[in-house]
Amino acid sequence: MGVKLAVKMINLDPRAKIVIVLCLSTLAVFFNTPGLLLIVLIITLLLLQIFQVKYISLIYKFRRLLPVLFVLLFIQSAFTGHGQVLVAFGDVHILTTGGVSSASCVLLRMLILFGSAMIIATSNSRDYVLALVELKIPYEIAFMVLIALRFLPVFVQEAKDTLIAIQLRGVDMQKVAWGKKIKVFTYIFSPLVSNVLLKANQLAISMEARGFRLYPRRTYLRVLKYNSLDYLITILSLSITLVVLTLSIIR
Amino acid sequence: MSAVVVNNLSYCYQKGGKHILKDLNFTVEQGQIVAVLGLSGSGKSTLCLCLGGIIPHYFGGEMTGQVLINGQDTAKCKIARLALEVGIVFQDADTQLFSPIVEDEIAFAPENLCLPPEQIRYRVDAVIDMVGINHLRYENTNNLSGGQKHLVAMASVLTLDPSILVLDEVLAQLDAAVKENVIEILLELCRQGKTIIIVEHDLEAVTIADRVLLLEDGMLVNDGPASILQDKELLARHKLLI
Ligand SMILES: Nc1ncnc2c1ncn2[C@@H]1O[C@H](COP(=O)(O)OP(=O)(O)O)[C@@H](O)[C@H]1O
Ligand SMILES: [Mg+2]
Repeated sequence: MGVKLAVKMINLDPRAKIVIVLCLSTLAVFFNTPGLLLIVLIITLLLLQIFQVKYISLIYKFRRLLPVLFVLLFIQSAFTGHGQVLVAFGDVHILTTGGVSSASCVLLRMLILFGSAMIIATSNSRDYVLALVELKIPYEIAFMVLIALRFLPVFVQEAKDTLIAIQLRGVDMQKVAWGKKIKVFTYIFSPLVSNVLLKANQLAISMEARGFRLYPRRTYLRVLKYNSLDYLITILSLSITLVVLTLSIIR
Repeated sequence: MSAVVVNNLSYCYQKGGKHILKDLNFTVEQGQIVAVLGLSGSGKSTLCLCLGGIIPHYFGGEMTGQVLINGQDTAKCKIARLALEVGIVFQDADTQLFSPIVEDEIAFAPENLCLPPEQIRYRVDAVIDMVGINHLRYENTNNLSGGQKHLVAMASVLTLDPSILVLDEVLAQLDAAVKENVIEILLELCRQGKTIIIVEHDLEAVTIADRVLLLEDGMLVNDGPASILQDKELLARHKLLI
């Protein structure tokens, strides 16, 4: 049963998934109390569970953001003077309930945004080309987006490799002065950019050499079809979001 | 009509720069298997680009002379149009696949022909079967080995059923068992009347060729039957003996 549901959900039309993600992120942006955001986060995590996304890695990645959030916590406490003062140093508020709540709002909001974006990744990216084409976007542009998305991680990986290569040669980036850092970064990025351009060129050649842009139109192996489950999910997500939003505006 | 006619072909990547191809002249008849051999840097890949019309359409530079593919002048024909006549598997395995999964990659070419989905499916299945990569069908193209990427690229161009197939240093990168299999496929395609051009720097890879072209520093220095591969003196003269 559980597996069957997961398969059904993963095979959801990409447009339905986009609707879910849009609804979740709208709520995340709209709400600004930790309690409500926590509820949205729990719903997001439940959905990720249904889509069989391993979200532990998401939370693990977020540990790097914690220092930023701590800084935010104190800044918010010091400058947005609302809430009860928890810790003070003379007249300066170090920690206030207002600060705690706005910092936790930021954390929750980011978790929701990143988490819901992971739902998108459960569809084959070729399906998004189809979705874009259905939205009357020219197929050349849809493929450009697809290829950009696909090569982004390759690009990031190469940037990391180059950085490591430079450090292996005995350059300690931490110790390089700021003025010189820029110089080092141009050393890294100019070959990287030319490398990426070269790859992009070769890719474009390979596409064209397989008949890309032969006709102003093209057909697709897979066909997207909005079936009843897609309609159900779309209507459900949209109406729940609308109701929740209107209720909270009225209050 | 000859499958490939190359007339006085010269090319340099930059106007007024060094000539990479120098006054090449040769003809390939339909159904032949031709090997193009030469050291790295001798201009083999550049020649492949000329056969597919990528030179002069995609690269600037300076091309003189003429390339006819099944009678059509490459300079006057769109690359995508030429793709129906000549399928090229490029040398660099990493920059010719762009789809998330293998099946999508192979479907890409027939999709460009505006075929209905059933016919695309039919072509994809037939080619996957022929190349023997059914086990890779749902793999992520990023996770394939270099040899597997080349196989997928070859399957992708074969879906357009081109009458000429060009392999740019593909065989040498395959392991022995897969190479054997690909050679069988090439022989079968040849029996179906297709023309095959195998570009290599490795002599061993081209045992099935009827004819061998030797390229040295952009010049065609020998054009003869496969038996010239036995001529140690000739090969040594062109630094091809390993
Ligand atoms: N895009 C390019 N721009 C400029 N020069 C190039 C380009 N591609 C290849 N060359 C040059 O052309 C020569 C022949 O390269 P290539 O055709 O790749 O040889 P081969 O495939 O036989 O190794 C090399 O000297 C190379 O530096
Ligand atoms: Mg080459």
